[in-house]
Amino acid sequence: MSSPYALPIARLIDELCKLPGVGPKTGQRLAFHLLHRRPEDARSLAQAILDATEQIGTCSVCQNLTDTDPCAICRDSARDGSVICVVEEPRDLAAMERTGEYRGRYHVLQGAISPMDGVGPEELRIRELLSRVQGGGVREVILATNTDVEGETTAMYLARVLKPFQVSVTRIARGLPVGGDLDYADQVTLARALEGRREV
Amino acid sequence: MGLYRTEAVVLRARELGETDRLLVLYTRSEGKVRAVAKGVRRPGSRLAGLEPFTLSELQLFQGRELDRVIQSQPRRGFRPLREDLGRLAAASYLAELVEGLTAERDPSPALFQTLVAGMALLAQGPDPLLALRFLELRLSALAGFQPVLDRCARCGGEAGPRPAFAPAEGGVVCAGCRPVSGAVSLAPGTLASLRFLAAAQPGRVEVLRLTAGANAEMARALVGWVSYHLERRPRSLDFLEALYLDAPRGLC
Ligand SMILES: [Zn+2]
Ligand SMILES: [Zn+2]
Repeated sequence: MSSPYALPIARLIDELCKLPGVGPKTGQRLAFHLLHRRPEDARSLAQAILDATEQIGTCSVCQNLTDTDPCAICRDSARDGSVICVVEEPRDLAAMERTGEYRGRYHVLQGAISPMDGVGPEELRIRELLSRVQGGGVREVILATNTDVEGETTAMYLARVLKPFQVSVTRIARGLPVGGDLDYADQVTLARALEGRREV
Repeated sequence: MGLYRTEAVVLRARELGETDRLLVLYTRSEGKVRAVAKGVRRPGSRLAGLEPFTLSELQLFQGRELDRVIQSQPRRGFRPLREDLGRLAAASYLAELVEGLTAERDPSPALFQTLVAGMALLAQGPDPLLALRFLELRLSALAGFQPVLDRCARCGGEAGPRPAFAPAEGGVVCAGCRPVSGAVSLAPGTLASLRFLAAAQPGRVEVLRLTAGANAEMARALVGWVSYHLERRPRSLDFLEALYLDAPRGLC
């Protein structure tokens, strides 16, 4: 079926539709939005996409996305290199940073173990974590993977493979979500919240 | 049907959009169902117990493509499945088996019961791997794939002194009927154990004590059996095997 649009428009819609969550309708809407903006806006967007995709790589130390290697956090001498916080994705690192509470370094696994999907430990950046710990100077590894089954699986697996090293392994506290009603919490969450209780 | 209420085990959960979760459930009244839990990841959501391997009482609304979870009340959390790596990997395999061996909206109350009993066995039993062997046999039988164990599946004669297990032949075969490839040799004791497991109540499974050799034979036979009927090797097996590889007991 031939497109009712001029070729450059059809091509733009086509490319936009390859983005996650963008269907043909949204693709058309975005394309016409772009066409109505000033040419320099379009050029700036195109340049931003090019810059990000060409300049962003993986930090050889922490495996986060970065435009320099090592990344800014790994180079920051004010941060405590003896503590490594392990997260699944770059966006989890960003969430951690937004708290402003953490002054150690990170390790980004780039995923979580999901046996049913065939995602095993080899698919993640676990070997890189182990060689960092093996390299010495690490006192504590904080497991900050998600609290869903994949995140728990990953945390338990990491705890197991980190056992032979002289390093303390901790798990972020899991409890009731803020605003969560006690009577609607499931038993596992409630039991853990009870265990993780602190003196007030 | 609109609104309905049933017990369900969550087999699998995927994040959907910003706050929703896509679930594959095995329900008592409807069998396998795909459902969405809207807003479940929002703090303060009243939908609880929608994590994998949880048994919950649900109220669902039947949709055209996906059902929707309206209310949920967790019944059993099977906590060790979330806290012991080996048990968790075993539960993943059980969930994958149930998902793979069943069709949507084809209810089997017996299969539901076996699933719940299986989760309990994997959570509390002393031998999760043996429990998996039992579950492979029972779940495939309930899904319509019951292996022939009492005689040679090919000629109908005695299994004989040197039996083998051949998925493509439908079960145990005698030495004369053994195919050139795709068969696992069974010691006579292993065949007896298979027959015991095929008929056992879940609570009786773990009276069985197997040698490492018998364990390995049984695992090869039954993993072969479910892989043959799923038309692929279950994905969860790699992780399970990696975990039990350095364990003292025979593996999967
Ligand atoms: Zn870095
Ligand atoms: Zn025969």
